[in-house]
Amino acid sequence: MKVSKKRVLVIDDEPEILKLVRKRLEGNGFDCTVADNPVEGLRQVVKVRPQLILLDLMLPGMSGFGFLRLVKGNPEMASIPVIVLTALGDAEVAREAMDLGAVGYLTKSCSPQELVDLVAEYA
Amino acid sequence: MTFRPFVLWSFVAACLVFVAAVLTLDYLLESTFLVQATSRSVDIVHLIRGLVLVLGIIFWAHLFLIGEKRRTEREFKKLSRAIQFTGSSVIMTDRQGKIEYVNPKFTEMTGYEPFEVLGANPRILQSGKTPPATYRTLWETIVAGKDWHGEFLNRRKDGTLIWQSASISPVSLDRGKITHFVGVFEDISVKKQMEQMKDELVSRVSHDLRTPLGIIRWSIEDLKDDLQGRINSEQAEVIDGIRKNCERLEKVVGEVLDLTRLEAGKGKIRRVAINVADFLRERVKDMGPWADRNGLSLEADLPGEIPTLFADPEMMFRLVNNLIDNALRFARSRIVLEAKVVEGGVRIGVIDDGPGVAVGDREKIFGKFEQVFRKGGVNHSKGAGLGLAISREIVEKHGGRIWVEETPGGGAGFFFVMPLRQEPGHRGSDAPQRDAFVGGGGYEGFEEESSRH
Repeated sequence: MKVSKKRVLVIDDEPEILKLVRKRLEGNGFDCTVADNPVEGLRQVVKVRPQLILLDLMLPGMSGFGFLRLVKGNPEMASIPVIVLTALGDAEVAREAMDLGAVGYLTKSCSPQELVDLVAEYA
Repeated sequence: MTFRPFVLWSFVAACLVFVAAVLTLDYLLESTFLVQATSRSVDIVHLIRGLVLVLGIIFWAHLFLIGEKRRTEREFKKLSRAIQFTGSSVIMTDRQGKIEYVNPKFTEMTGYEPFEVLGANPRILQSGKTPPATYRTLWETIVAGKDWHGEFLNRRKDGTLIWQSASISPVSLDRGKITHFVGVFEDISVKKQMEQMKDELVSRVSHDLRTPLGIIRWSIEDLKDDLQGRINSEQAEVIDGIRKNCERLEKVVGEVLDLTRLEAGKGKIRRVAINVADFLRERVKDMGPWADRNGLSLEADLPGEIPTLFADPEMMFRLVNNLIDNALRFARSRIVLEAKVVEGGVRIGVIDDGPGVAVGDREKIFGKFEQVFRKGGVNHSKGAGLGLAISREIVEKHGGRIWVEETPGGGAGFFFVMPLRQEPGHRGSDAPQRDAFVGGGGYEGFEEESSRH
């Protein structure tokens, strides 16, 4: 593992999205770990200790909100900034996520560059 | 005004009675009692003549008034007989909105027997789910002597809801004055159900389209940014075409989802103090570059002070951007944003110098999926054509209203009025007449009625 690179954990149930986001982030000098469900995501949080989590809100098994609550409720993980990624361009959903401790949100209609910029800001 | 023979013949009758009475009196007085006429006896004759004249006038006025009343009643009866067995539910109210007549279909549709509603206000049917602005426009329209058409979500006696289309007209049974209002209602619950199913389907499909569309666009960006190896300029052109249309699709999907969310009442209003002037100047700053790119000027015209508005900032943002976006497509050289204090709130306008909107399309243009053909439209950033429907939804959610009119230069002016105070659906008690079909959510009428039996 290269220590100099910032580690980003991406949690999304769409393999295609994981692939695309990973490519973008790795192309911009991040070390990217992916998980396609929240349980796997939690495992990865413990394992790789990411500097930032990119989280899809619509996930199978547990909603992104559930995951967010768990992370923010755990003192060891609470300090990891979380950016919410959602297909819902709903300001209310985003506000709810921010209330739970997310630092920012992106809709899936954002451009790759917007994603990279936001990740770079908080990682 | 129509000529009415009754006025004439009642007057003639009264005159004849008067003349006959005077002649009889004179004859009696002169021939029987007062053979030698004295000045005193002449006075008495004059007095009696005067009395007879006054009585005659009273008699005539009485005849006239009774006739008038009978006539109105007769007309009312004729009218109610005519509508008794129509297939639609019919309510007739007086000028103040008190129910005077309902037909059997009304009972069938709402569950209320005539004796339960006569004398009451149609408000008893309100479910509280029709926006107060609807009742306001309705009332303004009918007291102005015009017909109003629209839809209500009403409540039956048993508490169940019913979608009704309504057509309400002022009726004059007395020399051009509005004496009654007639409301004709159809049950459109089935149609509404179908519409709801359609909306749900569209919304589901749109939602499911979002993720794959996002993936496509990101993949295109990958190609464009040479993440998959270098591409030549012809390939880049093709890719750009794909990207543009993908963005267009995303916009359509986004609009559909925005509108369904607003309509479902999910987009709750978060009222925040907004400095209107600053807000509009910011819009000019944000959208200015877009206008520039299309060779247009975008400016704000903000004379005088504008009070603080309490509205949802994100919705206001979307609303004004939608209107500017719309103006960008039609303006020839210039778009002006203006704000003005008017009766009932703050009026904000987005005015372009384009070809304007045809009179017949001015209502339709705010409809869903309505393709209104407007000359001179530019195709850039075309969405589902829902921008104006979304705008209307936002304005109505705030208790305001939106419309389009022709500007002095012939362009289109899209205006909306946002009420200054938050309206909790309160009915003005100072205007009892407004009670006719007006008033938000009050179940008072309903409670009053049900406690009667």
